Amino acid sequence: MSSCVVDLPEDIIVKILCRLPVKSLIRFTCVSKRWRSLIISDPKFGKSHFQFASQQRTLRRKVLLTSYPAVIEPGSTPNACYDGSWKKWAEDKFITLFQSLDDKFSVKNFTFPSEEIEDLEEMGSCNGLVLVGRPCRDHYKSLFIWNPSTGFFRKIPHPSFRMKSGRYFLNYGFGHVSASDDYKLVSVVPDPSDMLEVHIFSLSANIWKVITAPYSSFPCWVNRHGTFSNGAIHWVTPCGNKTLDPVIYAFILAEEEFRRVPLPPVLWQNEEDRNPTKITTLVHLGGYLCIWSRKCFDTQGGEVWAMTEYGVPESWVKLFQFNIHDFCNVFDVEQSPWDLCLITEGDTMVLRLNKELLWIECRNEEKPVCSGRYRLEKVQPKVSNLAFYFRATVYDETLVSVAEC
Amino acid sequence: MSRVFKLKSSDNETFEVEEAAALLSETIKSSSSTEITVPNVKAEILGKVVEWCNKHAESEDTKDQLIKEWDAEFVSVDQHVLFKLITAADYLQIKELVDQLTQRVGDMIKAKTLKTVEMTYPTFNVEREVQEELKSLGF
Repeated sequence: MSSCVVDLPEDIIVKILCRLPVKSLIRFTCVSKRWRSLIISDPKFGKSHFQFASQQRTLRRKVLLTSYPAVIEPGSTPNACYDGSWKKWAEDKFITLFQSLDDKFSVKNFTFPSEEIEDLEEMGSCNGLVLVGRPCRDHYKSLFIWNPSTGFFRKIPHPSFRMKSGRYFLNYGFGHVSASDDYKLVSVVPDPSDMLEVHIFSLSANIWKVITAPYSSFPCWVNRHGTFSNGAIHWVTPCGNKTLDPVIYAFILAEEEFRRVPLPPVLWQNEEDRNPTKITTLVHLGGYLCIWSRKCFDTQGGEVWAMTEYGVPESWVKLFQFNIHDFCNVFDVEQSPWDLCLITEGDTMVLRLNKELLWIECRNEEKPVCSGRYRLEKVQPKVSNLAFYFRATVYDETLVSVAEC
Repeated sequence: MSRVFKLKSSDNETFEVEEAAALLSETIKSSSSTEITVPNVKAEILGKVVEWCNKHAESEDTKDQLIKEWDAEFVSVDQHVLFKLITAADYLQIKELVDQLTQRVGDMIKAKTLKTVEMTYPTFNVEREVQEELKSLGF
């Protein structure tokens, strides 16, 4: 019996471990130092495991919840102004809480591996790596790459090029370059001249670089967080701008170039329409590039389209259309602000309310059905009447990490 | 007329294998001779590997339901036989057989540890439980 097992070659052990789910593997990190190092700190193993799981379609997805207390309008709430509590608020720090939500709606709190945890937001996720930062504030000062499943964590260095003043993270995105197995963070900023700058950070090279492009290649300064799909980051032109083509602007990560992706022609058919169309790109968990189209001056709902064959304009398919009033038995549609977060593989939409997430299935011919609901638990209100910043996105459970360089 | 290969086990038993079945092994494919000794693999195990190769050589469609069922039966063996088969298939570089066998080990681990994974334990208990389970699987 002794000669039978223990001496299986390392590559066979790796083959076996590749077939196990991340949850099991994390538990197996306690078996031995060798296993721990393989499972958590071996980028090659992480990549093999991810590729196998993607192929076998056994990757597990979880929702990443980000929340922190935020004041909507200072002074607008009765308690929070010009008294002791206001001063207290001004001195308090708003710590971000990251949580994961699985498909059984059970929640787990994360301990973020850094002490710089104020006002952090999720800025994109790809292959299990999450980009975290402060898009509303800092000039690339607090940017981190984090794998919530393994704890892998890296702070992105501050760039060495001279930063011009102005707002950063007007348009940004995070994605994977399959040819070089690299991850890139991209931030597009306008330049006072007729050009624009693209700041690109490559994770495997661990360096920043800047390229310039003519302003016309990207006249789109509204949809901040771009959607990563098919090797490129996508943003859409702002609504109602008739001088611009109805296209999606894409930044191809491998070639580092801008390109245009056509929108479904039918959305632009009625040019005399005085109620312009607003379009946002969305995450579709099936891997399609997806858009949400609605009228600017009308908060009814809209239509969701998916590009079933990337780059082929005829392949745009309308997944469904919805009217928010169909859900008045689910939530207070008049009072609650709402937003469409993402579309699942089964074409279910996930709506984000002030403190809740709703899963809504829309079938074209039938009434939409609310198939799931999660209410965010109360999170550390320092001052009463504060609203929460709350966002939801999705990440894959993987062992992906990036080697030190 | 296809060639016949001779595979010899570590306990000196010889198996004759037709070319189509033999060439499923990369090791045999790249060997210059038609007589190959497989070190550290006894006849009982080598015989099973030959059986797998014969079965897969004669079936034209590997996605066929019947062969899938046959494969499932093939890997449902005792742990220590399983590990010996892996060693043999790895030496002979029969990729699909290695994949099936390692998948089987993975499934066994998943089945065993599933119940522990769902329950919560303080860390030191987890460590011991997991170690015990993996030990029982031969790791």
